[in-house]
Amino acid sequence: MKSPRFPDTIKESSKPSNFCPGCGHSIILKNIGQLMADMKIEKKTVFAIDIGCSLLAWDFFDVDTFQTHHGRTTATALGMKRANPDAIILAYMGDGGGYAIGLQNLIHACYRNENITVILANNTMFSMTGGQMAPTTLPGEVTNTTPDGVFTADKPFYGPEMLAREAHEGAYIARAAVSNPGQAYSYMKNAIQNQIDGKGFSFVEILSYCPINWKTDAEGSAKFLEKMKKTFPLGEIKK
Amino acid sequence: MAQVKVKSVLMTGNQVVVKAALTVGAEMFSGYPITPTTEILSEWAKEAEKDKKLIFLQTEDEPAAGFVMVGGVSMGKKAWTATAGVGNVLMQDPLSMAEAMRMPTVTYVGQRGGPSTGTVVYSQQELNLTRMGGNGEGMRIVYAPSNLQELYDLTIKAFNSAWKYRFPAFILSDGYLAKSYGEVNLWPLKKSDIVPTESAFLNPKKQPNNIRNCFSQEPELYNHLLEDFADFASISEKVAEAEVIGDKNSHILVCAWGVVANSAKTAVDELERQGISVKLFRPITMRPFPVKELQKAAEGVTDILITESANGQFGRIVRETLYGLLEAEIHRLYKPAMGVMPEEIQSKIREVMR
Amino acid sequence: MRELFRILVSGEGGQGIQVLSKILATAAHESGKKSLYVPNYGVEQRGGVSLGFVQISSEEIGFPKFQNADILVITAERAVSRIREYIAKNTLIAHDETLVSKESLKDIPNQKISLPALKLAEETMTGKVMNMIVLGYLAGMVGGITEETLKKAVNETLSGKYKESPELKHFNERAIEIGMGLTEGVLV
Repeated sequence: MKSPRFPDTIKESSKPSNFCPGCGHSIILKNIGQLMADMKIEKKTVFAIDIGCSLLAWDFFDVDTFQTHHGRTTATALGMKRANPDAIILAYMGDGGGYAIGLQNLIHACYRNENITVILANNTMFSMTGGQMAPTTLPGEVTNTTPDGVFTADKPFYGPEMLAREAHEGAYIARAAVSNPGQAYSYMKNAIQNQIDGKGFSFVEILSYCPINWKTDAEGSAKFLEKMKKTFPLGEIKK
Repeated sequence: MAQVKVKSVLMTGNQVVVKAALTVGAEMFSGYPITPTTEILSEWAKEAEKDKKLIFLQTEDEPAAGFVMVGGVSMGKKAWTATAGVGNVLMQDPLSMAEAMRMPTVTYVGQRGGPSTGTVVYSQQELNLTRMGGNGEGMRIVYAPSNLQELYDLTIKAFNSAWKYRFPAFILSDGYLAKSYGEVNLWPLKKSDIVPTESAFLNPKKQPNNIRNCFSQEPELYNHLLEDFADFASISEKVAEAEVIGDKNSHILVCAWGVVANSAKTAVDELERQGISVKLFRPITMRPFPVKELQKAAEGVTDILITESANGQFGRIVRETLYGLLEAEIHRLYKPAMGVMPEEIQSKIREVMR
Repeated sequence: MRELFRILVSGEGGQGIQVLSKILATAAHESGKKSLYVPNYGVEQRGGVSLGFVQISSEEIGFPKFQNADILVITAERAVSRIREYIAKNTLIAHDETLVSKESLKDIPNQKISLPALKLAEETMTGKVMNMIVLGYLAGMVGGITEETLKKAVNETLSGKYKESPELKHFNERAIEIGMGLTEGVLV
């Protein structure tokens, strides 16, 4: 029996999902599912997802879903939007996909004010491959490929702030965190509404948990996320 | 199909390809400039300026161009791209996804010298890359025009085959053809001869579609691949095409493809005028390869001359196709990244005969 | 009898080698012949040696390039090293003596014709129409292309430039006449 807490957009047959216990993706995805149901856009939406842990969401929803290549979700998504401007296109990716391998496509989509919505989960590392350094890795953070901590870059990668600099009038750019789901929900809603209104590029970075690769327990995960929030300030950066 | 008589026009190869794409109902183009196919972008841009229904996007790189194309195809648009050389290398990222997900795409390749940046001029060195590129098994349909008219005819065919069989299709051209300026008959196509498109998504009559190219378990992918191989095998005989020119009883067989086959044809014609009989085998599809046609053409042959503007990429296909079937001696005229002139082929044939 | 002219036009960037080659192919087509033209091109946008391969025939033409030129035009000394490989026993070499010294061609034993295109262009109009004199000359050599057809092909191709300099139309047409006049009485 379907739990009353889950909207129809969430595909029952593929649950429980393949995400690790405590993973932030489940929280973000549940939020997106709720949002699609609340906005009544599930029949008009195509959900495009990247490689990395986000790919595990390929059958998360009872909504059209296209799982693409690493970093290439933005380009695929905007191709879909240009082909069918009436569709609502949500692109979903991690910080590795968006800020490392896919940055070129992401920043040009922003620069051209492509009318799509990109939602990016930032957990400061490449998680599917076992926790390697990403552009977002925090100063001093130990990862699989930075065993002594990151010291080469004294500041991490500020994706939304960078995009905001190249963004056009009408673009919407924000940063939220899984620990503040209400705020994340409303930012994502603003982003999708921005697309529906035809105003152009919309982007929400969501700071997210990765207890497996952070090697943290529940309390440790919460603490790590608080540290991330100090580094990456939450809020609407461009609207 | 009755072809309406149309006055021929003079055009460059790149212009011809754009006209063919429009004839067969292409609606969307995304690309990145690279010599010698850049004019595809600029010509399509001009067409899109005139016809607002046409979609055009110059992207930031080749992968973006390819993924925009696949995105467009997934939403039911007849989308295509054009590339060359190192651009073709980068383009394998989206094209391998198209292959995995059975997305019909059309890619026009204007081969240039390689490896690396090579030359911007000409070669036949992108044969392996275009036929088998990506980390897969080459489930692709590759047409190889040898002149401007075939650029038109085979571009139309590539679009129809892609959408009919749902495998990525290619027009494997080269810098000489792309930049050549000559006569072409732009015959019209009836609406009913254009294979229609369908969107993978947002179909109100169907359940939501969750599609992927990543599998968790080995057997999942294996079984999926077996289905695709079976499909590809079943279309191969229908799609594979070749041409055999010259004296069918000659014991000398020349094998060439693309624009070099055109050069070889000139050589064979000229030798015929001089009373020397030779036959030429020329594949029109490089993948699926016309295996039976080559094996038949090679029956009873004592000498085979393989010529190409690469260092044996085509030669290996020919030798593999004929492996164990005959004792013929193999001769090679390989000129990687250089044109092979009719005069050279002629003198090589004379040498083989001695 | 098949008629085939393989014409290689060589010079340097800025001389209008490619435009004249393209117009020659167009005019031949308009005159009921088969024609095919392919430029050489490299990474340079302008500058460098420029070669245009034009084939005109009574029958279908196959490969866009050729090894042996029937007529070879040279209008720049630095092109000489690039065109040697296309010279056969019977290649007729037409060179502009103002631009290509006799010295640079002296080891080439072929029949040579002096084509004073630049000199004539400068004396009568402007050096810019040198390529049109070469074009007229080549059309005359090929034969079967009327002055009218050639002028029409020139004017259609270059009409964009006439807005800025209207006198250019007259210059081009006059240059065509001069070029065609150079072949009168010449038998290939």
